[in-house]
Amino acid sequence: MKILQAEKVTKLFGELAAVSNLDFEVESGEIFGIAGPNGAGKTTLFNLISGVYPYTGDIIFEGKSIHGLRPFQICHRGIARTFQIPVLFSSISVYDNIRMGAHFGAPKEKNEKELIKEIIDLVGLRGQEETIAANVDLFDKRLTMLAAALATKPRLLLVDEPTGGLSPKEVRASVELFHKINQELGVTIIIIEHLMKVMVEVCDRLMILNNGEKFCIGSPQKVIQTREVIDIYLGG
Amino acid sequence: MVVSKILRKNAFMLGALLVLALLPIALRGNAHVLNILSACLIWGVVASAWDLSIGYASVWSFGHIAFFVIGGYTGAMTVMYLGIPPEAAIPLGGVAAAVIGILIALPCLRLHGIYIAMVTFGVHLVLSTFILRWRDYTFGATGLSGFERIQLGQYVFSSSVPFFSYYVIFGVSVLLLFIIYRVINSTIGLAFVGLRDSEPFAKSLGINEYKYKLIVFGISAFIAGLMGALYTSFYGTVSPFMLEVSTFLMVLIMLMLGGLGRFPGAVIGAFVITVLSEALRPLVLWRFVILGAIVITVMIAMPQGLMALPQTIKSFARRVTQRKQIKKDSIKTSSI
Repeated sequence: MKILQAEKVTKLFGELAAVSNLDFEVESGEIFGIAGPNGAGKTTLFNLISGVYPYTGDIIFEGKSIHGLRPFQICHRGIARTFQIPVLFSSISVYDNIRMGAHFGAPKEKNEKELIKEIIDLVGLRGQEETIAANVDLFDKRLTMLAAALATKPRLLLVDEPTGGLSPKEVRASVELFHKINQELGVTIIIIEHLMKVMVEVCDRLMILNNGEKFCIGSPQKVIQTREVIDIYLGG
Repeated sequence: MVVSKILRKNAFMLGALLVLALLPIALRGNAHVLNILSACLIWGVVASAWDLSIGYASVWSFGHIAFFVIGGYTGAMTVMYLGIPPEAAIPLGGVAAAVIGILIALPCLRLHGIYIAMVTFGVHLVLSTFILRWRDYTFGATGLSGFERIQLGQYVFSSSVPFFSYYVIFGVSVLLLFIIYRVINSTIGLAFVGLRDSEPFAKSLGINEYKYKLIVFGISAFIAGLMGALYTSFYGTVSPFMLEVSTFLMVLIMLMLGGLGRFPGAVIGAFVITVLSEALRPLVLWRFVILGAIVITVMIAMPQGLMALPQTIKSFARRVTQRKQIKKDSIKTSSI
């Protein structure tokens, strides 16, 4: 069953087509990777799905168009996202960051505290709840952002470059966490990532974008061995 | 357990409230000081309501003093022309300001920062022209006076009856400050902070930014308008001179000095500025120079305002201790 379908999605910034005539589908329950060189339109695509920019074409989520919806409405439909640079609510605690997602994003929860507790345990932020978000390290910042997004109880999670700036050990922990979110919570994940090793380990399918267009799509092992993909990455 | 936790957390505010409640008894004979304290409370509430908008929600509304004046005129005019009792006219001032505040918020929904400031300050500028043009009702530059005041038995709510009037202002101020405190600590306040700290993230977590912008405009304008009506009733006059830039800057300075987004910093700022301004009054124009110098010094030393004073002292003490330790260590090393 398809959870997300993009149909001829185009986003122009003046003359520049950041995303051009893009068609793709994401299956429910899979981890779908998006890769490509800088400026390929990966983050723009996330911004289109999450309602940040207007666009032409259509995006269908669980059989219904989400075209023209505002970001908070898209969240209420069941799509959550994280950002490339951690954009936390820096003046409040880690707990309140997560509470923000649980309170405003989740369908009316009977036990908000219980939901937050479960998510804190899942991502491994126990002990950091009362720390002001500005004072936690980069990995915990990324975890807090992810936890807040999960607190909205999404069915589709968009994760933008989650391993940027992390140590190999933290990257390893992130990979395990994405598997856990996908398998234990049953959340479909679309992930943008530069580290091909991570993509191969995590993703069921991988789409390569180049100049805003779909270049190829398939299993990560196959895609990364394609001569043209190597050329794109090496600028050939 | 819970009660003692709340008491400990709010010990400063509760202590200050107790002092403010008892101070007039000690000052009973001093009408001048009582009126200054009343002014401190009025401006403290006005600045705190503005803080809700600028400091907590980061909605840079520069129409706050316009809302205050709208409340003042609504209070006076409904008493004068519609014969509404003054007790009812004061909340009506708040309602009128809130309605206008929400109407002004509508074109601001898609704007941010300085653009909201420009639109709302435009309203501030237009209002004085409107008051001057509508002179048949507003009496133009002369303003309105001589309207009926709140009366309780022999006591009239007026600056010439300071003891009774102080407690009326104190009661209203405590109630409004409590409302502001509750808003800040509610999920509405959480949404304001979310939109202030990171709007894209807040929106992606399901926060409807338009709804909360309307709420913050509505609440802060309501409180400013209500205090405007109360101020007008207290002093018995309202005129477009209240829209002078000096009033606007004075309240903004109270807010900045106390600390943006640091309730009850704005109240502290209001007390400091109002008392200093009165104390320096004999110096005529020089008082503005001295006030300016004090504000600049405080802002350089404590950019986060007076509410950050305990943290500033702590970090200063820590630095001094560290320096002493380094000195001691270097003496030890050199003696070895």
